Amino acid sequence: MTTTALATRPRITGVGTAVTPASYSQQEVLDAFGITDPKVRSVFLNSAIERRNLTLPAQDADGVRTPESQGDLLDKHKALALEMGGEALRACLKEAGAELSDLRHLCCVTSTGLLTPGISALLIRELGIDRHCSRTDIVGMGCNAGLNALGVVAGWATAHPGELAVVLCVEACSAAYAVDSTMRTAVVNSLFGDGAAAVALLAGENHTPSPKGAEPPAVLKFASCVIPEAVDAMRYDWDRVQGRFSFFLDPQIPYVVGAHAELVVDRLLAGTGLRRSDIRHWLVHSGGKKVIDAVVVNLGLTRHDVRHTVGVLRDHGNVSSGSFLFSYERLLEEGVARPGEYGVLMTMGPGSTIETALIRW
Amino acid sequence: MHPLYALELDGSEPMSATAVKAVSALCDRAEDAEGAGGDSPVVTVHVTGAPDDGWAGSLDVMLVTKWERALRRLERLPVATVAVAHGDCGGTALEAFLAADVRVAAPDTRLLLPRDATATWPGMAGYRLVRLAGVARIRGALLFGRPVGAAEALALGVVDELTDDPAGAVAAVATLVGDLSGKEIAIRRQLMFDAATTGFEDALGAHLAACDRALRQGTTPEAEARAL
Repeated sequence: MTTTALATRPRITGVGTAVTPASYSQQEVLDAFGITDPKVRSVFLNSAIERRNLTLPAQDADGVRTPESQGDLLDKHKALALEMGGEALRACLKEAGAELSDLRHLCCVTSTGLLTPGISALLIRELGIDRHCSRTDIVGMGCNAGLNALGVVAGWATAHPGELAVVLCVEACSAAYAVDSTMRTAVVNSLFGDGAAAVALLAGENHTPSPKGAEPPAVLKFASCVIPEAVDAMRYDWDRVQGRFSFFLDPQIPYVVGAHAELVVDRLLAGTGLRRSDIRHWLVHSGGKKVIDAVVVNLGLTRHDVRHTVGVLRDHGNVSSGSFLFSYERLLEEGVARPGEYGVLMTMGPGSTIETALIRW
Repeated sequence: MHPLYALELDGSEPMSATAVKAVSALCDRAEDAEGAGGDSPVVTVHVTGAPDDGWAGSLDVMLVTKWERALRRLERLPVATVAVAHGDCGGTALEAFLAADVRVAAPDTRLLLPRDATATWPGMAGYRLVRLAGVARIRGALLFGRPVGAAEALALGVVDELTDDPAGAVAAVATLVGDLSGKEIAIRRQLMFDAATTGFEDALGAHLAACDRALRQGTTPEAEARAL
């Protein structure tokens, strides 16, 4: 890519994350719901997750957590999304050296609750953001959606040099639970946690260097791959028996994702003159232990390459669309990325899909 | 061996940007050949020579970082690698030798841990020697710079074969590798490295993913859809 072309690419000028206040170990979640089935307990305890941030339903007089109605869950989603979203957005803007009043485009991403008006409009009212700030809400695309949003907003930022855009991923996974005795819900309930992450994009020459002094990375390119054969393998749809939305994850899905990982990464690097070994930083969605293993094996990565992916899974579980930004934040905190180094961002989710982006410091 | 996929390293030269570049360029060529399809090359590294005392005086840790990174790349290449040693081998010669899949040596080979005024050089050659031979058997060489002769290196498993005919040994490795995929060899190699440091339960997922990858070789998208 020529220097001129690079100069017009948007740069990631800030990132910020937030979680809900209460964090639970897997054992504590099992205890909270009185889960004794050895098979379900095994799924929880072998998940490579130590803690997750959750907002559990209140206990009744007997200490039992009562299941919430779909209406209660939607209220919970809205409340948590605004709380976490506001916090992540403020943290991101602070990192970018910007104020709320600098915000020109806000793109909100969620899959854990449907609401209209969307989170972007609610946040503009809640935080007092300029009413002329343009908006997008991306709803229902799942764990991969953070990169779908980044792709679209990178286009917006390129078309509006000097104007600040933010992608805000907000997932109140505590509002997407269904509790029953099936293995289907056990797998899902063992995995997801609440979390929000925001990332700021700015194109043009006028970006402010981040407070840490390092030049922010430019977003160069995206590549996607939908696997239509596996369209039903990951779903969040209506469960008629339970009368609410419920997740479904096919046990094959980690392998299907792994099998297509090379295809999409090769496509991302095609025409860039880069070899896979030229990528110094891999920021892969913390989807779950098995899918991380499958991506590592198929891309020939090391445990070190996915240290943040694994660390975020351990500390927060799968926080869906914002997970890869939690990893990105940890990479920045490490302070190891050097000018000229390349990174690949990679997310996976329903569709089934793999989304990737190439960035350069 | 095809000269394009071969490199000679002289361990008597101090570690340098030139050596880093040479190893990186070799890796570039090997990866490009593997990526282009067809037969994977076998990469050959010929090493000899050991540095004088005080060789490390002009180094800085940034150069050492780059050197270790280049060697790690060599060690993880998506092609099979063979190293051939003769005479005294220390410094960069020893370090590159230890990063290869197959290590052959002439009978006059001696492996030398470089030392300066105060101690032996603490680079990753020490790590690789421990991985190959174990702490107990390599302690004397690592701590005090006791040379390891060819026969001892063979007994320790640090050298795979002693031979007067290195070209023949390299050709035998090429025959052994045959038409195996370099990329798949790299995956098996990574599983092997991880096996030494990872518990069974933690390793299982990666092995299952690799099994799935092997099972999918040659399957069509339609067959994949049926598998779901």
